[in-house]
Amino acid sequence: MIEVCELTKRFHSPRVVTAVDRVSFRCEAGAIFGLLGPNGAGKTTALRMLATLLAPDEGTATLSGCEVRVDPAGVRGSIGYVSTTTGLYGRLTAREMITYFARLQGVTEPRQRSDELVERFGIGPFAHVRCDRLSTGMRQKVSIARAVVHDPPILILDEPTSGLDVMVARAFLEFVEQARDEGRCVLFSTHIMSEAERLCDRVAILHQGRILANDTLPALREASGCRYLEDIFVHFVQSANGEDA
Amino acid sequence: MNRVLDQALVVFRGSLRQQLRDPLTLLAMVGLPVLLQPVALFTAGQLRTRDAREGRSATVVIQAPAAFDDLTLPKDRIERVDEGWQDQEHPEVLARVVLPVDGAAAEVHFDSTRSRSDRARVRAVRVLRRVRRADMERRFGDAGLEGRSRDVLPVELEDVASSTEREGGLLGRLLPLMLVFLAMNGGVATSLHLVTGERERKTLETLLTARVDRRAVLLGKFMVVVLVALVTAAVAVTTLWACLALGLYDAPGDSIAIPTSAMPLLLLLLLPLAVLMAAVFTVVAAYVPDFRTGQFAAVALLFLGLAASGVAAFPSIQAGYALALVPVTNLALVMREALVGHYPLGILAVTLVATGVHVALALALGARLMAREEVLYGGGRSADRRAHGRFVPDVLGAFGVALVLLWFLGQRVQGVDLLWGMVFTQVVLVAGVAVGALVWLGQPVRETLGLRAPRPVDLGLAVVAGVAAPGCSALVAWAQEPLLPTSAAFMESLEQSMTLDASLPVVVLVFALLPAFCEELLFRGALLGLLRRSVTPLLACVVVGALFGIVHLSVVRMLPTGLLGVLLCYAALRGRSLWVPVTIHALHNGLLVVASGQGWFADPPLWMLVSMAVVSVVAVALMGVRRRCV
Repeated sequence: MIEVCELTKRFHSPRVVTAVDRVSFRCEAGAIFGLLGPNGAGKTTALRMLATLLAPDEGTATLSGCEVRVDPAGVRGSIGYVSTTTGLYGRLTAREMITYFARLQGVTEPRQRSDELVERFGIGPFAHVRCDRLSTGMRQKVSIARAVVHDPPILILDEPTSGLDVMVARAFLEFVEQARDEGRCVLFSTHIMSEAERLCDRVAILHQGRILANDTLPALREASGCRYLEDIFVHFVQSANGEDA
Repeated sequence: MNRVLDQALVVFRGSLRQQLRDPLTLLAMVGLPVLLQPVALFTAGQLRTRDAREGRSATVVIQAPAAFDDLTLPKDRIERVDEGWQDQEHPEVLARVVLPVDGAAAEVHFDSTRSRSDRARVRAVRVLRRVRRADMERRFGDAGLEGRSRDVLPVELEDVASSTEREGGLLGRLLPLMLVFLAMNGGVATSLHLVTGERERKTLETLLTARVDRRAVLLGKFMVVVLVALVTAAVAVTTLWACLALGLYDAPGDSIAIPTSAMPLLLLLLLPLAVLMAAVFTVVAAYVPDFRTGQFAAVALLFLGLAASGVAAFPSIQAGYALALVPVTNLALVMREALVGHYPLGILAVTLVATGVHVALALALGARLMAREEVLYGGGRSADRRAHGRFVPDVLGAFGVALVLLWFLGQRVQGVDLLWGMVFTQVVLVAGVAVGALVWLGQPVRETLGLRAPRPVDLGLAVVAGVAAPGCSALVAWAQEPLLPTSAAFMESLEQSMTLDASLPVVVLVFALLPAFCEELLFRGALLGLLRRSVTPLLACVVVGALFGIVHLSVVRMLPTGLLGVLLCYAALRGRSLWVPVTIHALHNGLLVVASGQGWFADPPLWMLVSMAVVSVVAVALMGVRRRCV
């Protein structure tokens, strides 16, 4: 479903910084792939390349058979992208927001699809309220509905629970599990270890733009000799730092 | 293309819905034209009326000696006073005339900073003329001559303008300015809100992850800005028309109206005006890093727009085919013509086509900006921009610094001592700016400047091109002679600089070799080196060539040096070394210095110039050919 091969992104400001360095991984349908790393590890840059917001310098990334540089529109049609930085239009109501994106995504019956999502995510009571007057939890529901309005087979979630309170974050994680059960391929980046531990079928540890480890959680435990994901993460990062030194 | 248009319409509807819920947009679009314009017109009308009334009744006193005892004064607030009369004690008096005792000139005392006093001065002078005439008639009478004194050449004024021209004349000078201001005001807020604001509110990222073409995003938002600017301008025109029809503007002596026949064309011209404003503002909004910077840019654009449309306020500037190519000015002039009942169809057609080209260029630039990934972060933020290898503002900034230094410091220093001033100018102001700019931008100096050894064959071709290069500039100078004749003063100053009191080797060193190296460091080194990363090689050559022409601070030399600059850029790119253009430039300058000193080629035949130009261009074109084959 997602196949990333040697993906690289460099910024030149003023010296060259390699934000993502030859990253490769695969993510299958009906699975959650966790991209784990501290702030500045390159998670957002990697996911933005997959969402076609940034152009890779080297390497390839294929999502649902579409390569990001060859068919960016095809890629965007097959993904639902949610991040801490994807905002909502404050002057549109919740329902208008969903309908607007249904139209942009080329959904054939945008109003009908909007009604379905309003009902599914419990948006009804505030569907007519402008987005700038919604609470964080309500906004998150609208964000999810907006991301899945075209029923994408892939979900790319970039630290989606960052800044959310416990109840809203919990509801969001339930939605992610539900998406996996529906057979979607979920790529989930986070620096919250407990979330990754709970959700991910497979985890890649990203540090300074490079993948240090990429396996299932039991395999990572075995390789590191650590029980908890936090310890596993620290183990790999320290090993990498030791090698660099 | 249909898909892009369909998507653009979706973006348009969504963006318009949001925009119409913004109170500030509604205020700029409808509120300002409806509220401010009648108030401004009414106030202006009342002020003019009051001014005129007060001017008529301005108090003037005349301080006259006994010799003028039989002076007859008009009764309307003109008063005769004694010699001891003091201004300070009579603030209501606006002008004082002091008549002379011994035939000296009469004095009129007034305050030029007070418009009422200024008007009183006009009345006082008029009264003095009347006094003089009465005095002359009295003397004729004393001498026994009959009749009245006459002006040597009586003048009668007759206004040949039609009533439409008189009524539309004043409006034609002011309306374009007002419409451009209002259209810009409406468009700028909308474009900043829809593009820059979306980026800051993080909704642009949301939008760009949808399956929508980025050109459609730009087009959809552009259409909203067009609509807002168009409605703003149309509301302004309609309100003005209504104000005039209702007689809200009541100014004595100034009858103004929008001719009914001009209204359709005026409304038609609002569309290209709104489209142009929208295109420019959408591109600027896509480029600036944040709202605050966007507002600064908007103010600068507003001034540019007002300056361009303000041309119509000068009756001496007539609409013509050349001005029909200038953005905004062309529309303002055509509007002015329409308001006085003139419809120059040819100029109108050229104006519309030129505006279409301007809009297309702006939108093409906007599409390029939208396609860039830094649109998410603002292409104007220097760190992000440079991170993606975009150096256009830096190139223009470095050139601006060099130009200002050369203008204010270089010319002055050379005026004090031409030889050492030239050395200082070239080394510090030209080469210094080149190296300083690269150090400031953190770019590798040697690599960007192209300071690497050229291939021997390219160096040989550079020698050939350099020897023939004077033919290029001389040919261009010959071709432009009918349009831009070389003035005698210019030739004199050029010859003066070339015939210094110094030995020929020193003159060649200072006026040929040093500029060749220093100017190449700046233009073909720093500016071309930075610009070629951002734009196509051809565009980089043209832009740097144009800057090279401008920096010589002479209209006559601009085109010849500009085209020589393009050739030198081409040579730098073909030869992949700065030493190639340095060689050509040095030989070009050196030959000109020696030739002017020795009086060679005072009037070369045309065939020689053409041959030299061809040889020079071919030599540059041959550079790097073998390397490409290998």
